[in-house]
Amino acid sequence: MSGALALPFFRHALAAGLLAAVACGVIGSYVVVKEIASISGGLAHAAFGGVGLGYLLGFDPMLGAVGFGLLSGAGIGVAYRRKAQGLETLVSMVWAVGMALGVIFLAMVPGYAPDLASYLFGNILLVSPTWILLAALLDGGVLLALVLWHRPLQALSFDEEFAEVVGVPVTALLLLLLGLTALTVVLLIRVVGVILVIALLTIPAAAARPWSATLGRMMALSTALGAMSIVGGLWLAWGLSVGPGLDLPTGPLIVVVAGVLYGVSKVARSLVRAA
Amino acid sequence: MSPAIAFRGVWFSYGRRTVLEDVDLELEKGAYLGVLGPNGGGKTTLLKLVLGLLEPDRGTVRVLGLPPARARGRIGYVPQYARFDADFPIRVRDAVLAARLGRGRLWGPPEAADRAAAERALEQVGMADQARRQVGELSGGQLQRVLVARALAGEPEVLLLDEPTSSVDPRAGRSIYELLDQLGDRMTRILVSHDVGVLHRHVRSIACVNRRVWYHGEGALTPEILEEAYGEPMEVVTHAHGHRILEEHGPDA
Repeated sequence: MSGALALPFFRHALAAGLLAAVACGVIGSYVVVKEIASISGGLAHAAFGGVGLGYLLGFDPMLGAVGFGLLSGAGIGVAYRRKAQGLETLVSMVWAVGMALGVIFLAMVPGYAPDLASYLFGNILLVSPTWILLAALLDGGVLLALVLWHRPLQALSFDEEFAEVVGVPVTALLLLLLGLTALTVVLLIRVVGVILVIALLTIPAAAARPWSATLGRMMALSTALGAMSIVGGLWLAWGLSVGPGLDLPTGPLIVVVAGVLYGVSKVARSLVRAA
Repeated sequence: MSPAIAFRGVWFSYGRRTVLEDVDLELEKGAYLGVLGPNGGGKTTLLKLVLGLLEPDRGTVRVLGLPPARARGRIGYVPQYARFDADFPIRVRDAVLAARLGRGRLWGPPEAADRAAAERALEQVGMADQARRQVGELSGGQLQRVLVARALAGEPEVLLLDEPTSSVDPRAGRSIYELLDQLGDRMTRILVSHDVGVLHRHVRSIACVNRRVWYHGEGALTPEILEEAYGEPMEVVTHAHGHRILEEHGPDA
């Protein structure tokens, strides 16, 4: 990989991947233990509607993604807290309608067609220095929230009813969590794309879980596993490109590496337990 | 002095299914009420109304003279064990410390007083030596004792327990009930249980919940009460059990 490291875009990609792994590991752990994976998938696809609107109206598509993501997160959060029946249906609707809006908006863009594939499947090789700065800021925000409110967030994830009964402001914290999830999801769109975001949020955390007695440890471990997936996927893409001349997209490779790590974690765990 | 818990004309339904109908109930401070009734009869719903997790369709609920949502932090709750993700990555001590979150500050590490209260509560249920273990490593009975400790750690004035010993072995169950007896008049307690024997030995009054609530005050637990609660004559075994209790139940019991 030393040859690759000489290339600025590859160094950018590597930095981006490591920064993304932090937000991904922390937020992904909450997503897994709170069982809101489908909500985070819904937010990613809703964000795509914002991407389309950005292109159509001529503002930064990622800004549109942030807006759509946060609004959907707030809407779903309120429905969740009201214990609305059919929450799953609502999430599926947000998921599909967001996606549909994105496709329609993009089809309405006059002239050139934007590169849809890089939003659907991501392309970490295209990240800009601005994106890297934003990723660093998001990591800072996520870590700050963790330092300040990890205990109530943990209590809320373990037993939401009990947290509410003792007087934890459950709605506010849930909206904070969904807001951070929406921002993380938008960030990850650049890395693995709308369709595969849910994998990067859940797979490293799920692989870390059997080795973690505490949520904090699960976050650290899933950050490491997320970083390994991203770096591994990048390395594979590079190796296959300069070796056999196969040009494969980085996003799916990253997800496949994460899946393999998950398998290794589960098998190793059962071997350790059996021993 | 306002009663610890007061229901006045309370109705509640999930959608179109009425679960509780015209409930009136009043408990003085320090009361110890046992709640009986068939599954789906509204026992857990009754507790959730006290906790403010549900709002009545009609009527009012007051806890310590306040609407339930404003009495938060003064009510302890031991939920049904079956609801738990037993593998959750959290240590026993941290699970118990959650009870203190509503009292002091919400951010940062717990304060010394919070740690001391959690420690005390774990000692009360005999789990102090397990404080550093992950909840997933505990047996069902140990986890249930931790849930009792968690409720006590908040130093509540009202304590609600929803079948707190359904997966505890009988000896551990007895120690939990003895602990509840010792809490005495400091705490108003409501215990939901199917165990007629336990209710007979420990609680001071009984309410039967099956859409309606029948409050029986301080008296014998008779087969007629059980029949009323469950809406049909009890099975022979339980019925016989009820008779035995009736016989054992003297004026000084």
